[in-house]
Amino acid sequence: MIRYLIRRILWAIVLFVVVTLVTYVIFFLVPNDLAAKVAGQGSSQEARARAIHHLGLDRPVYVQYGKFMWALIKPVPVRIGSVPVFVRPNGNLGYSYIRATPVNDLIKSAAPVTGSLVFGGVIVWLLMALPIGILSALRPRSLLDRTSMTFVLIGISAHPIWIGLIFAYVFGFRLGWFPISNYCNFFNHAGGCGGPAQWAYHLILPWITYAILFAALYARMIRANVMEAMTEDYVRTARAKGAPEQRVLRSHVLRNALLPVVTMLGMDIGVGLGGAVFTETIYNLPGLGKLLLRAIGETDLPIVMGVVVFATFAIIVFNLIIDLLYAWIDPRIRLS
Amino acid sequence: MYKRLALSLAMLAVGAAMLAASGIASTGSAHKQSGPASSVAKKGGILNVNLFAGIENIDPQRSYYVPESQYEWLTQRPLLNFAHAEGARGYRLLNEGAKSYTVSRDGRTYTFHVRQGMRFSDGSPVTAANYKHTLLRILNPNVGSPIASFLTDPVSVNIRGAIAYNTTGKGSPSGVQTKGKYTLIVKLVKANSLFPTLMAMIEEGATPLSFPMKPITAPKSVVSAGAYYVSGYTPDRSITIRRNKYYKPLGAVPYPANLDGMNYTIGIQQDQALLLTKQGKLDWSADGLSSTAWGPLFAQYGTKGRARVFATSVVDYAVMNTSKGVFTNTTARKAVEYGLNRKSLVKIRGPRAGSPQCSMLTPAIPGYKKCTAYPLGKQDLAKARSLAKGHTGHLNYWYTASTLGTQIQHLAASQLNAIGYTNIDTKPFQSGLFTALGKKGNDYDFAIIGWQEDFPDPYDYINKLLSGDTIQDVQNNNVSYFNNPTANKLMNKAAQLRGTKRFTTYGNLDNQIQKTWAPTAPIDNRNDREFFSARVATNTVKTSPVYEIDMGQLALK
Repeated sequence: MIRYLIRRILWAIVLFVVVTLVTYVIFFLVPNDLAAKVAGQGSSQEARARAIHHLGLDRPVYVQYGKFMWALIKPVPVRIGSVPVFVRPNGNLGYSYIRATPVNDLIKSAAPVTGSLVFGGVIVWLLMALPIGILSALRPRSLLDRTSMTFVLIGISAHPIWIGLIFAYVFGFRLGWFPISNYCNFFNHAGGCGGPAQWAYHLILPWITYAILFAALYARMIRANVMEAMTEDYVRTARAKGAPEQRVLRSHVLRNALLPVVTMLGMDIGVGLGGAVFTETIYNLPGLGKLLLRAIGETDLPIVMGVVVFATFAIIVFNLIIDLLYAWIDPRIRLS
Repeated sequence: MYKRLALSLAMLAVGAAMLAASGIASTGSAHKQSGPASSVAKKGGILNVNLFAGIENIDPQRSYYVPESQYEWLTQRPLLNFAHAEGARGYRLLNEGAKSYTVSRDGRTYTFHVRQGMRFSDGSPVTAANYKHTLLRILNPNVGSPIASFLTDPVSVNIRGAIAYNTTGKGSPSGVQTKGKYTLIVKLVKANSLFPTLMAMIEEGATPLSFPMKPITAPKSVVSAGAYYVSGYTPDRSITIRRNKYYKPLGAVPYPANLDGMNYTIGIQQDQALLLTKQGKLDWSADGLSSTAWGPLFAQYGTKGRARVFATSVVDYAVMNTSKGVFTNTTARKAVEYGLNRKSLVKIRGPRAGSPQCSMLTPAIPGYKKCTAYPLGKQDLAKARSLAKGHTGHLNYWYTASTLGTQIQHLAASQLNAIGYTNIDTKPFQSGLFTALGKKGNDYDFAIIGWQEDFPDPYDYINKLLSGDTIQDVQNNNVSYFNNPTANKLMNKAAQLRGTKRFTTYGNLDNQIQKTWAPTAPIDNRNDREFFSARVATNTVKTSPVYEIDMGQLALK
């Protein structure tokens, strides 16, 4: 198990380096005129040269990349009183070229927004997909099944932006049930709203918009898995032994049918971070997606790198959690 | 497991790479650019404003775009100020922070007598030292103010010692001095009548001495000396503007200030903003709505009430690269002038988007003279084809890849095809088209862009966009790279003139350049289309020729 963990962590480090390096190189391959943005419109050539030097952009790409990585992973002792207890990575993502603000602060401000959207969205999509998938599988080709599969088809086909705009128009504008823009902090009041109730109220439409595509995919997958599990020998055996249908479903069918769902969930949270860009744009949620989009438009590499590093780290952590969860759900994995 | 992790990360990397590749590879409108309100205007209330694209800078010395300028016109207190009035009266310069000023006989020394008793929003006094600090912040290269180049222009306004200070950031320019607590002296290298206009720009507002010689990026609030101040700022989320309780006109014309304040929300998508404005949850989208919104809005509300149309100072124009390819030839450029259907290019941006024109100056700019050299309505195909004959060849057409930018590109390319330019390669930019065009030696031939005034003077259009003396390696505004010695001489001569003669000369020169050399093909004078919520008293909607909507005069019902 320890060997497995070490191998896995080493592999994650390799992937982390590759992802950050690719992002770094792409940035330098694409033409931009950062100096003018930093030094100001119409600034002199001397001022632009100084800005470039100040940002370190006049050094070779590998030096810049090395400096970035060192600032990120440099060991920093953690002290209790004045005694160093252990070391931790420095975690410094640098300063935004354009905003001259620490990237860590920007990520710290945007991550809770994206986190609220993604995790709330995951809960909503599971709440939608589980009953639809299971009920459709239990009554194949019934009216319920056909209606559910129509929903699935729409969910898979329709783009989140279109769904978001339609929801905003119908439920926000026409019916006036939900707000159609902005984010309220969960804890502190900022910009006139805040607190758990306002937080959730402002996120209802984004959650549903974000969840529909995944809910549709998951409903279809759960339906197929449940239908397949129903035909397994162990299910027939359980029934033959006189187990009640509820127990057969809970302990034999669902336990096996939902294993791939857990696997998919780990991957889709990573994919979902990318999908959050659309939802954040439509509902004006100041999350990582919006931050990344704006940074790309401004060629602000430190922010782009910051978001990539953060998302990469999040995906690695989610995958680790899913692996542990998987072992907990499936005894065969524990044994192996 | 490895595969799954690798797949997740690979998807993330590919996603980020695609976004980066599509985004970094960049708009046309490179720039920024009233009589008192009705006596029945109600006082009080908070205006809810949306800024879809946000602001570029919260730092007053780094501001450059209209959305920032609109509230900064109320928060900043420069030495001089543009009158809060409509039409040409809006260009009138009033003494604001300066009680008075004198100009030396040789026109090179300006002495400003700063009004006594003015206070910043934190209660601290405003003195000449604050105005000196403003000028130093503008000129200091570490601040990166876009206005620095206006005050260090060898052909125009050039403060003594400013170029050296703007290069090194060390010492202090000898041309900026204080004498006592309330006198500021500014010395120019040579006399230039544009200087007072530049001193009225909102970037010239008094700043506290605590403002550092580097950009201010995420302050909780911004202290200023105008009738309002930025009381709260959360980057990418909100800006809160409230009254400066220490503001007193002290003999200056009082700022119009009907509202108690403005709450800016940043980033609401334009379609959502339209719905929210209809609902009354938003009062105004300061940076506009999508082009498809205007037809239904004008049909429903007309143009005199909640939906409004105003002319701006923006000129949309086609630039042709005169330094390479087919457009080194003047006849080829003239063929384009005759071959573009200006009316259709305006119409594609929706109803009442602008008025066709073939001059670079717009009617709002002093000196404007109507151009009649080229067709403003339907193109003259026969003439265009005959001029293009023998001068056609391959064209690189660069454009902004927005929905509208792409539509304009399709239409303009079809019009170029019709006159014989059939071999066109197009290159889309998600953003930064103007920056890319401004890089000397690039291989573009044709593009359509827009320009909004930095300050209300024809110099900002004619010399800046067409003078060959301004061409540098990057960051060029003269993106047609037009460099004709005769034209350069005429432009430099006009820059030294003052008063009516200056404006008349520029108006004639504008037409002469277009008619003789045609380095650009002006298309239209763009309109500002606005839509307000039912809460806004629409009789208080007034526009300034400098800053467009005058928020000081706006009032709620």
